[in-house]
Amino acid sequence: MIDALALAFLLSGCFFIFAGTVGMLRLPDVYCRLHALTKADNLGLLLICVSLSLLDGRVRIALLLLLIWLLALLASTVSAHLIARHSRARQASEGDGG
Amino acid sequence: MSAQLIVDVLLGLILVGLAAQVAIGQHLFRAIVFYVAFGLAMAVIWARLGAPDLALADAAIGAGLTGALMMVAFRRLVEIDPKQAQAQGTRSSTLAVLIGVLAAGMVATIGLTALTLEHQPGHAGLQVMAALDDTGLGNPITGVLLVFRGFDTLIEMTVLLTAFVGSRVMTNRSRLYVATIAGFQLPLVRTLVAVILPLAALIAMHLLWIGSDQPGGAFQAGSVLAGAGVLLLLTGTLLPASKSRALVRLALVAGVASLCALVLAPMLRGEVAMAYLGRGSLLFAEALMMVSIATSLTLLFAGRPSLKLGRS
Repeated sequence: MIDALALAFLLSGCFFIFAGTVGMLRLPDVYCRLHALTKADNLGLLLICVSLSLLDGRVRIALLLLLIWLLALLASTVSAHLIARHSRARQASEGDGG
Repeated sequence: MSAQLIVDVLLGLILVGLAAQVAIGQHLFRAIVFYVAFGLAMAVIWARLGAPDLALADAAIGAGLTGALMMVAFRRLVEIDPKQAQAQGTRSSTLAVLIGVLAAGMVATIGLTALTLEHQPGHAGLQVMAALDDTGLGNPITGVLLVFRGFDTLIEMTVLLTAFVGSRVMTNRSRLYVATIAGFQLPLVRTLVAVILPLAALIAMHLLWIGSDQPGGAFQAGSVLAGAGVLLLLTGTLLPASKSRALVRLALVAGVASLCALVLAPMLRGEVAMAYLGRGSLLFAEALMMVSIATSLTLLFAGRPSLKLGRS
């Protein structure tokens, strides 16, 4: 039962990571790509972490995986924000020039 | 074909593909990004091979810090020589192809030979595992690094120190390039620093402490601390300083000094040099090695002999 549940979480996690990657490769501009990457990948990572904690069964491991997810969330939030900000600043300066 | 073999073959193909992208990449910046991805793939492969110590070191140093160092070198190149930094295409020579083919042939020969080798009774690995109980250590990697082959580690630390001094000589008169990220004053970035720094310190201490019994140790802990140092430099909390300080110099030589002490200390007690002194002495040496590794790598990123506090 738990194995089947973990498999479902794992597969849905893989789906979201895959969707995020396709989004990054196919979407037209930097903002859409960031949107696809940060939203879909973080959800995918959470689902995979849930699946792994179910498979392991120990609370300690589950908490460590949660911590890893929170760190990845923090890093991707800040870096996505900085990339978007940089891109907007560059567009603004190019707009002034042209 | 089992699922595990498929994963391994895929990982191997990814690694070769990434390496090819690094070598023949069209653009310097792309090559650096692929190099970081290569380091991460390498870390996953080390983990699959059952070498978590190497996986940790490769993820932290190979992908993280080397990537940061190459990125800051690229930024400096953009400042100094924008044309070369943006150049498309690489100059590949027939000699490079020849060297590549020969290197691949050598690796293939060694790999195929290793596959056909039979396990010899009493090889070095078995002897280490047998002798490990006498040292009281739980992690054979730490045993090899600091007890059985401690002299190699002393030389490794000396290489790191020499490399740092060499880079100082090379960059002594270079223009200062302060690599702070745009928008480092943002509350979001400040929050990131406030969360990451204590965690990095905690993880470094944890890696150092468990290094005797589990994967971890001075190299991994030092590179995590150096990562924190790079973050502090990027956010302008620390700034490169030209005036060298005694404390920084002490931190740089602490690793080599502690390993020398580890070699010589037994002679004070009338034993032979490099005799094993117990776990406490190893932890002491590893702590100082961690300080040296973290300081050298952070200063390499700063490009200056010292650091000072930035505007808060």
